Amino acid sequence: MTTNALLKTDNKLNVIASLPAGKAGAAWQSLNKRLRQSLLLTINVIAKIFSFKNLWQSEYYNEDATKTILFFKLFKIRMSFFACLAGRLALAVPFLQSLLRHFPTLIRQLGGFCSTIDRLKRGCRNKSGKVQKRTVPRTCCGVSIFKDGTGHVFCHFPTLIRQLGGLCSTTGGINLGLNYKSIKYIILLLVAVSCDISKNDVVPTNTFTKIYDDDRFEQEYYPLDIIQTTDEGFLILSELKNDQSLFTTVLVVKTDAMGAIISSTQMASPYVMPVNGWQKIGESYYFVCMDENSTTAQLVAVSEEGTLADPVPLNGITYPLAVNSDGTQFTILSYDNGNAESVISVATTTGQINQQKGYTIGAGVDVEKPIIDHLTRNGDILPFHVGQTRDGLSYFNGFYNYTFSLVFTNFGDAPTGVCQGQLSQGGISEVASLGNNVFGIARFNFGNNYIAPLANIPTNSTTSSTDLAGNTFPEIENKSKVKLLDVGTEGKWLYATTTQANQIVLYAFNQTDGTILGTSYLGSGNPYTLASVTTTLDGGIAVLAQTSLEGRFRRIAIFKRDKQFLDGLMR
Amino acid sequence: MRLKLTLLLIVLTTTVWAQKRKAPSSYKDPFLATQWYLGFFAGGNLSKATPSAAYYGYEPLNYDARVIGKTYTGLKKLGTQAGLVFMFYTKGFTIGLKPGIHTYEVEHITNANWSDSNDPNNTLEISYTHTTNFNYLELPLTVQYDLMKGRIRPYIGVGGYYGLLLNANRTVQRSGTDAASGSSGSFVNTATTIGVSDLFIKSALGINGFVGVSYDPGNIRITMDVGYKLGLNNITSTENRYLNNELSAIGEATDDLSLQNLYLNFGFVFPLKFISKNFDAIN
Repeated sequence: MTTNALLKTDNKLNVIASLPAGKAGAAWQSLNKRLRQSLLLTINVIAKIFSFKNLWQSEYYNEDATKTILFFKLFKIRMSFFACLAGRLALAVPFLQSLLRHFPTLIRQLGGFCSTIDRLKRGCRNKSGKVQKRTVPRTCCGVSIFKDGTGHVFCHFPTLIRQLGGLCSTTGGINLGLNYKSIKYIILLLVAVSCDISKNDVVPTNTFTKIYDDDRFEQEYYPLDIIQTTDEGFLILSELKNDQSLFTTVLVVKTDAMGAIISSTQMASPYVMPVNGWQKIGESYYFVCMDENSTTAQLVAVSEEGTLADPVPLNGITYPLAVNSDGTQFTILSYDNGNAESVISVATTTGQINQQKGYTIGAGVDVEKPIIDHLTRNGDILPFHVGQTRDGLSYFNGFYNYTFSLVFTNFGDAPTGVCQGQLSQGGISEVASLGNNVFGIARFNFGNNYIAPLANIPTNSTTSSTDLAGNTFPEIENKSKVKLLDVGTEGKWLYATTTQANQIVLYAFNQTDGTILGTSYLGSGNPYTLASVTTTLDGGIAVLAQTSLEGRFRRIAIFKRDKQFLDGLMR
Repeated sequence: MRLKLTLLLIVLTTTVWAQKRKAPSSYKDPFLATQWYLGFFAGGNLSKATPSAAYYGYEPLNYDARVIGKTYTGLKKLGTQAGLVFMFYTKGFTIGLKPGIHTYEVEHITNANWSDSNDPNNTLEISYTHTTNFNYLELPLTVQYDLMKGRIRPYIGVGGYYGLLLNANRTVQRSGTDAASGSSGSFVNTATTIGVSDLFIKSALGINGFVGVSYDPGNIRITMDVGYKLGLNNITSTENRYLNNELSAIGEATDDLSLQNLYLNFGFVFPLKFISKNFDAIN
């Protein structure tokens, strides 16, 4: 962050420069408009240089009677680049000078004529300082100081020319042309070439790939979610599967900004099976897991340092499947195996249940089996989801009436609307609301995967997910997890999922017209499966994935990419 | 290009022969106290990389990263270099500028092991041999002193250089023992090569010292010198250390490195000053 009397930057790298009021302000206003703009820009650049931050550039200029505001935008190329570029351009100048100076001599040697010798005859100073005419250089190399004050180191290579078959005399020759200006350029060059050495002390917090290994053969990690904390470190929520328990156990990893582990905490029995992600309310980060003895959902608060508080039981909620929050309370989707119902609940941070409603999944064990397989991680991991639309209506993505459906509810006896899937073989895999019944969705249907950045889903009637528009993406792995982020305030969707080639793929879409903006792939060398993606404080993203080391050991991986990467994807 | 170079060498050879040195005169013109040389050199080198700080692509959850254990093997891989020589001689001292292309190869080994807590016989031990190949355009500036006069001149010298990285690639050879799959024997997989230029900065600075000898058969100097180069800066890009997915996948992140190099050069340089056929161009 840069501040001075004329400008101020906020932490989003927007710069606003406010001029002082009073006489100074009046004097300032009296200056030429273009001059003022140039001065402000110069001050800003100097400030950036001394703070060793990025170069800023004036984008446009606006003023009123009392106040001038300059808007600056981050210039994408670092100041160091300009320094290096200037140095490297300086490299070319002495060579060009030398070439131009030598050219006449070369012409003469090739049979033409030139006047280089005339310049040499202009004179030079002898040891006593007296300027004297110099006709034929006696030595091959020497220093001349001409009347105009310029210095000159000259060398002649007549013999070389003769050896090469050319014509020359000892009075001619090639002039190397090393003068004061050239020396200056050479110094600049030396500074320039060492640019990357002097700046090669960067802590790679913007872009890195990290893999979290465990040397135990039997441990398998199923990462769930990642969130960046205010100290720029990360909290990772993961499942840990081993052969000692029916359900996966809970692992919380706290890292620093570079992804280095600060702490890792594995919850002891009976706390198992964490569900889909981090929720931040106030200064704490929460996740939901399950007591494997009672199957009751448990709410666990985690500090920024990665310290876990005692679990708070969410009585009345069994087999939690998904959780979301609106910043004040939680909405939880769970399964009631006694009544064969998908249950949506609203709970507070103290564990109090404010609202709850169950909806039947249908009768018979065939309907329940996909849920059991999901819970025990012995079958398809289904995209359970829960949340609120921008219009305030609650929804869940789960089983209802025999099919995997997107169900809208106001906690009444019956859903207000349902977008039905195809048993457990079709449905919506990710959803985010834009309001007015418009959603960004991804869906799957018997092996095909579709993305619809602008899907219209009525929230008060029954429809089918197969009726939703969307483009098919054959490269997406069947039933793979899809994460959808509403990135920034620029109306862009970021879809993340897994390809059939076991890479992470990122798609950027425009929310206004649904057009695709960019595609990028992450991960090679090992297979990768998407777990989650989140935006970061530096304007970039962090992608959490599961990777298989040596093709067999399932471990946690993070891809951190910077703002430049994300901007390039969204362009 | 080859044709042009061949023609150039033929012309140089012809002209050098044509101007074969005559018996020196007793007159010593000050002009002859100096000499310029132009020529070329080529040779081989053995390199090693010295880490100043170790980094790992894996963040271990239950063991110390140092178990991965990086081992750098020194002065094992043969590299080559070739380039031009510009030299200025006066009073026994020779200042030389020797731009050239230098290829260095360095090797290090990393390990990864997994074992079953419930069955100690279930183990997988992998060793990755990383051979990194660097191509630098180097601009060395040297000063050497002739220890003797005459046709055979031993010399010693020191200098510094700036290197510009042109390209870097890495060949990874995977080998190990997979007892978990029922085999107690070792295996070696086919090596794979990846580009790693982004993992290193463009610049390399260093100093060198050398000893050598030159021989003057007549209007040409044949030189041979042995030297040692000491890299002074960290050539690893600290910003891109964890950027390569292929290397991260096997637990590798580039350490802070400087290069050292033992080299042997042969050179041929031609004197440039022939004011008169009556004078020796070298003495």
